[in-house]
Amino acid sequence: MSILALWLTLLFVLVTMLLSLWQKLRLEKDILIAAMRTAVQLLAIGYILQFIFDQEHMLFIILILVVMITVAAWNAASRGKELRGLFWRVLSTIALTQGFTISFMLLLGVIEPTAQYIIPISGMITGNAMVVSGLLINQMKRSIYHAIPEIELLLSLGASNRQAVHNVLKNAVKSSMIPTIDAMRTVGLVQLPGMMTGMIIAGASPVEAVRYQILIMFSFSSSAALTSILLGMFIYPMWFTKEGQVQRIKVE
Amino acid sequence: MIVLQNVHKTFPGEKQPLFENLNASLHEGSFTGLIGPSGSGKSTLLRIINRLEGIDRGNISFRGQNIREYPVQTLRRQIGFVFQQAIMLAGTVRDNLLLGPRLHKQSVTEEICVQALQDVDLDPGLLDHDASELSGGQQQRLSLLRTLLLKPKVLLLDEPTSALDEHSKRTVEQYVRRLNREQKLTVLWITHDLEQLKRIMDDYWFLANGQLVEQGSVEQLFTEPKQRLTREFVGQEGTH
Ligand SMILES: Nc1ncnc2c1ncn2[C@@H]1O[C@H](COP(=O)(O)OP(=O)(O)O)[C@@H](O)[C@H]1O
Ligand SMILES: [Mg+2]
Repeated sequence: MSILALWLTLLFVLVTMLLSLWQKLRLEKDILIAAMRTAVQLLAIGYILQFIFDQEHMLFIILILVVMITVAAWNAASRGKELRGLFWRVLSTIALTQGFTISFMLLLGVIEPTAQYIIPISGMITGNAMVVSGLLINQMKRSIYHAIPEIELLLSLGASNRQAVHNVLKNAVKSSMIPTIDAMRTVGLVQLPGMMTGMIIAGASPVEAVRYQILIMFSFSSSAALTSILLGMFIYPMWFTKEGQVQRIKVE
Repeated sequence: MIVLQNVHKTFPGEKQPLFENLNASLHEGSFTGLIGPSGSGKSTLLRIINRLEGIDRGNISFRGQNIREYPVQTLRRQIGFVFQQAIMLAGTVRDNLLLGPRLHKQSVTEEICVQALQDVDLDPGLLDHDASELSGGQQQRLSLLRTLLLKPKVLLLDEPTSALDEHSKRTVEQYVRRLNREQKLTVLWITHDLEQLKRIMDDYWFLANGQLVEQGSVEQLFTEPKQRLTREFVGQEGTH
């Protein structure tokens, strides 16, 4: 795409702003800032990636992954500001999931150990893990709060904290995986995934694009499961005091 | 068996303390009714003894040792607690009855289950029914049995007969009384029914204004209550 064409895409932003003005949505400023951020962030990452691809040095790849995972963990952990130390647990979970998934792909030889493969695929897996983590945190907050009588009943019968939240945890893990499973069911019918679209526009054959998309979808399912199970195990203790009491952590 | 000394409790975010300098004791094998105006903290006191709720200051001991020094799971198995609200988990009556033993990988024979239900006038045919189909009164009895199946040394009961008809109420009263006599089960039973107190309990704790105003024998409560508050409470409750 030419630079001129890129500038012309600004017309979309202009249209959005005019619509906002017309409907008195008062979103003009937000739209402008968001559009600027989109452009700056994406252009920056474009140049950074170009640089890393040219260098092809492991250190740079790792650096990018660290930044990616940190931002994702930060974002997901913002769902539970009341839970102290949540960020580190989300960070470890996403890092473990990411490490496992990418190692597995490299080991099987389905992707090559180059920046061109590792970075975009890691990005997608991290993004998915972030969404799953956010859902799980929300779900656990809600369901533990509502299940306090049940949890206390189990505790009073001498259950360990783990036993007392077992059911609640299982359901939260399940519901945080549902969107990933739904996406597997409808992919290609409702919308073409961004990655596949991008590959096709950039000139790859649709069949080649689909192969990668299948790889992504399958790895999403295992990384979603891994993320929610690991994170559930890491965070349920945050709802208990050292004395073995359930904390009433309010849900907004 | 259980001794509470200078217990202070204020709920987070509340200005008024619920308990201030509360002292009380329960000796082994005793059968005690816990009475007091509603909102005086009777339920909270049982939760505190079961360590479902913490305290700010003071000391609570069980068999001479601070309750905080026990592994909490061990303590809770020895101090059984039946909530006022009977909570049924999804599953059959049997699943709910065996909740405790299953948590601890203990097996319970069919005979024991059948016997348990019969003890409180529940039809053993209900064992395979969905627990949510039971009436409130049936659920209340089931939750009592569920706790007893763990063979606790102390039994804390929060108005365990509030949903029962007269006949079942008497059955449960006699059943618990029998366990108290035969197995030296120590019982602390919240009730607002002074007739029930007279009928089966030996001792009472009277809770009001953040303190244990008075404790003693039930006989004494009705003949010579020491405190004005207690006299007023007995007088009021007696009139309806
Ligand atoms: N988790 C809690 N947070 C704040 N206040 C509470 C909590 N639980 C109980 N209370 C308050 O403590 C008081 C005593 O409650 P409770 O122990 O249920 O009394 P009782 O069983 O004697 O009726 C009530 O005023 C109640 O509102
Ligand atoms: Mg109460």
